[in-house]
Amino acid sequence: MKCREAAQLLSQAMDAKLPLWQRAALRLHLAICDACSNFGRQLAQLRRALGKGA
Amino acid sequence: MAGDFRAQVEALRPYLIRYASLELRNREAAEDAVQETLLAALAAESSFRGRSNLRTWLTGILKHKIVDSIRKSARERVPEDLDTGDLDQLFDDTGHWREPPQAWPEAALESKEFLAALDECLKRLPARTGQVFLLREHLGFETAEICKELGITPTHCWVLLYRARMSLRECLGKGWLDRR
Repeated sequence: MKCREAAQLLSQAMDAKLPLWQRAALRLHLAICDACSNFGRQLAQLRRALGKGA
Repeated sequence: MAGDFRAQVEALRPYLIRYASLELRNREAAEDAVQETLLAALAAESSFRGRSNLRTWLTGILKHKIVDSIRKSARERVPEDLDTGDLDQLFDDTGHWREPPQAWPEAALESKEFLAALDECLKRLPARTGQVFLLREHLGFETAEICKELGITPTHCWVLLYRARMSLRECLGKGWLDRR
């Protein structure tokens, strides 16, 4: 998996449960990719910031 | 007593207008949604009795009015580009990030500066993109509900959310977070 696909899947995963094989592939990619791991955390951080009623 | 209720409801108008303005980003539409909310609230005073928080109750009504307003305007608006080509530009030919995302410090996210930057970045999103994102992340609607309310396909919804997230993190990063 490339970062380009991983970023799309990380966004989709914020809204719906991904199929098992996509989740597995994504987890493998995140294990070796700091940039995408940071991206995933940023999506969660954005959610928390807005959920507080910004 | 009826006068008291009216006064309490009226006192919350500025709060509700701020809330609706963030969501609709159009002062006039926000005022209309709030006006409809206040009228609905006054007509339904008896159903409020026994509830503890007037603001929460009014905000609940306002959410529905906001969705109505967005639904109405969605019919009049040209759909935004479904193409993700602009987003693919953030990656090189091998599919790697051109500018790899950095970790954002947790502490910074609590600051007023962050919230101000976030507000600013939200305003720069294309109108529909921002609305879909806020319906999802701020009001907490499920994507299926958003698609249905706005009459757009799940794919369209997903592309708008992806674009919103990519644009926001880039905007916030450029603004200051990556530089810290």
